[in-house]
Amino acid sequence: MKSLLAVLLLVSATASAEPKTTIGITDTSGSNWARNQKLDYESSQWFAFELKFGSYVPSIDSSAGLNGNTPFRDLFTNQFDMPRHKPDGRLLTQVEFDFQFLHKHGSLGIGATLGFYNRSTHSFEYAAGMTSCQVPNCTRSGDITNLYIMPLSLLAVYRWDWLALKYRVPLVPYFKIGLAYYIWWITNGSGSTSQFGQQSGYGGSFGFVMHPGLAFLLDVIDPPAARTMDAELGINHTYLFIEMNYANVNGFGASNKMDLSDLTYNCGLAFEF
Amino acid sequence: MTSKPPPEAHNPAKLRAAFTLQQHAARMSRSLVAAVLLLTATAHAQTGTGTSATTTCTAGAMTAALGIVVPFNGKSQNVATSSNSTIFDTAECQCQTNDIQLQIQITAAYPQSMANGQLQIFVGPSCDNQLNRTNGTCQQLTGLSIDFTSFVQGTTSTSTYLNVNIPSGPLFNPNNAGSANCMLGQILVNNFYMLFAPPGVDITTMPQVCSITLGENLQTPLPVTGVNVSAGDGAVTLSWTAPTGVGEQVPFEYQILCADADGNPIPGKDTSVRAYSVCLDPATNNIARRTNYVTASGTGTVTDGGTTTPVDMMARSPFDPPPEPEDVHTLATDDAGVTDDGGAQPITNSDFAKTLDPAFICSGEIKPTGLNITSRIDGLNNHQTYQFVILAIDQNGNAIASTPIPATPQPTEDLYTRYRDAGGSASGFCFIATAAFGSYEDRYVKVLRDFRDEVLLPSSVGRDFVDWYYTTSPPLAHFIEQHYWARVGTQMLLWPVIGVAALVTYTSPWQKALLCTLLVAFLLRKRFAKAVRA
Repeated sequence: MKSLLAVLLLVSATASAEPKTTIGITDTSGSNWARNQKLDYESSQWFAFELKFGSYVPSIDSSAGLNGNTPFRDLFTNQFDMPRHKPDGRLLTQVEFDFQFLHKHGSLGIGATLGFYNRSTHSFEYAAGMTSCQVPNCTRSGDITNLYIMPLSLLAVYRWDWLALKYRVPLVPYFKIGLAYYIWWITNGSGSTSQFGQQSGYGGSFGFVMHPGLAFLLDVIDPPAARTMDAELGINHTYLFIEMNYANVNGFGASNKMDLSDLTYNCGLAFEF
Repeated sequence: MTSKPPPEAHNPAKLRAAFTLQQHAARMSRSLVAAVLLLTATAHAQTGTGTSATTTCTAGAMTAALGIVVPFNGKSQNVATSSNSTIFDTAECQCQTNDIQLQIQITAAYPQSMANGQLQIFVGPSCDNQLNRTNGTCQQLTGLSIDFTSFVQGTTSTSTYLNVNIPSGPLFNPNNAGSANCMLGQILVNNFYMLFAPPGVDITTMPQVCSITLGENLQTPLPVTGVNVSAGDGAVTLSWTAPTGVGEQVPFEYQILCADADGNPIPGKDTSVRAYSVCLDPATNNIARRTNYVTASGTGTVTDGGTTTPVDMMARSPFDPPPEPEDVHTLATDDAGVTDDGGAQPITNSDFAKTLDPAFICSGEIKPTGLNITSRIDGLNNHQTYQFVILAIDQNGNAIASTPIPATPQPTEDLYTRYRDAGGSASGFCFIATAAFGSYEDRYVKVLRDFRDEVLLPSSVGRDFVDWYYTTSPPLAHFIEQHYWARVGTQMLLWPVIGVAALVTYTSPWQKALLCTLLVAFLLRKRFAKAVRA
């Protein structure tokens, strides 16, 4: 994977610069090595932007060292529910920005994502002797504890848009894979970062993510509007998409990292420009 | 939160006044017209019905402005707005033995015309009528000291301030019916008249007159309902429902008072922000809150918020016994909801709920954010029982208290503490150094963290380096963590790095300069020695 990435980076570095293209004029100068056959009206396209939403539940209870204890589930589910189950998902919002450096039988690019996730619940009161209470005999307190996660990732993105662009088949399958770093922090009832002795309740976990997905090209719904959008705003294509969100984020198995992995789905809107 | 001075012993009331100036133009000669003051002031007054009005006071051709600055009435909020300026509320009305202080700003475009002028102040009904001013209907405030000497000849404009102490009795007791005249719901329509005459004009017969209408509002809002209390870590969370009503029945804001189980104030609380009015008991000079009013027996009416309601007015003691503490906390019906606080100690004294002594304030001004309002009181001790009173306060500072609510803070376990208690160990961001030294909180790791935060991150190059480090180091850190010999070797490699980082991070600029000088001198010592020998 690393060698492939290195090759891709080398190739992109040797590709010639994109000559300026005036809308309506087919580019006949410069290198077409990295370019699809351009339509007369189409502006240059190098980037993509995505806004996506999904349900997410971090696998905190799978973190190293817990030995079967489930602090996340205990707090974020009704302790009286039987059988015990994983907490329900909450909204994960992400934005992604891609640089598509190769357009040949699809587009290849590198992307970066930034997301935000938050959920809260009432803390438990300690049991006698300042020991952790055992569900279902815990007493909720008036204090609110918040979990915040900010997922970051660096991706390689491949979109097979050849069918869509050549034959106007409005479906574009794609695949993304890359390195992720999920920053997390937890607050207590006073709103400040939780403390455990001298240690503060924040940190980060490395991992990797994969996102196979399918995008629907919205240009086919109203082609004149799509051309106008390209001409006036430079947005070449617009997609609705759904993708799998496979996140294996546990610090590569480190014993002192929180496991924030999950397998879920995202959907959203994408723009290529 | 606004920082305000401690509660005052009494409440001087300042009033932004609206003037209505009635010009006696027919009797003014041209020279006098030129010298007549144009009294302009725009202020706001609220009538006893709770409505508001804006009036402008103008007179004559001369430009001058006579204004009354709204004095701070002891509440933290500025009540001097267009909708509710005024006014005298319950506490101020009850503090009848105290004077009300006003500050009058006199501004003249032609100050020389103000020199040796006369100013009189009358309180009562229709004091613009000369007869009322002479037959005792209106009461003249005496002892005023008006300093017009600050008006300098030849200047185009200047201002002077006149401080006036007005006994509250005449304001609230226009018929001199006695001192205890703050009847619940009584609407007093009093006028405050200022008469001015420039030099050479008979103030008795030809004054410039500005008048303001004083309003008052003695009706408290409705009390809060649906109170819930729950324990927190060194804190208590109170939630309640805003009362529904019309107009001034709906509280403008809230404030919480708290005490320990024995009725003592809680030390360390910020008591400087007070959203409600208080006054002193003249007999004891202590903070007093009269929950009822002494009045003649019979029936009367309560008119407030535009609604008139008949009430049976009876003579009452000003200090009724406080209500018994009420068990208002609820058990959770939903696991994620609020729970029973588990009060530990009995309540022995709740007098603070009766007096509303500002020494027991333990929250700032709580503005309503919706139908349900929540406030967290922290800085408490776990396992110690406290009692809380929620005040519903209207825009005029009238406050009504809830029954005292007991609660006992408890230590709590949030997600991170429960995760750590369960065996988890995640904390922090560092990798290689943490892996080598075994702990994020290791003192040597802390040196590198401080170097990162104070030296690297403030610069773009430093941030790029940090980003690269966090991107590339985790696999290496994982390897180091798993192998003892790698940890030892890494520690050895990091010692000089830590030393340099400590020197860079923990020394002041002049110390850095000195060290650099010494280092350069050390490096060039041989050259210096050779030069000396030569």
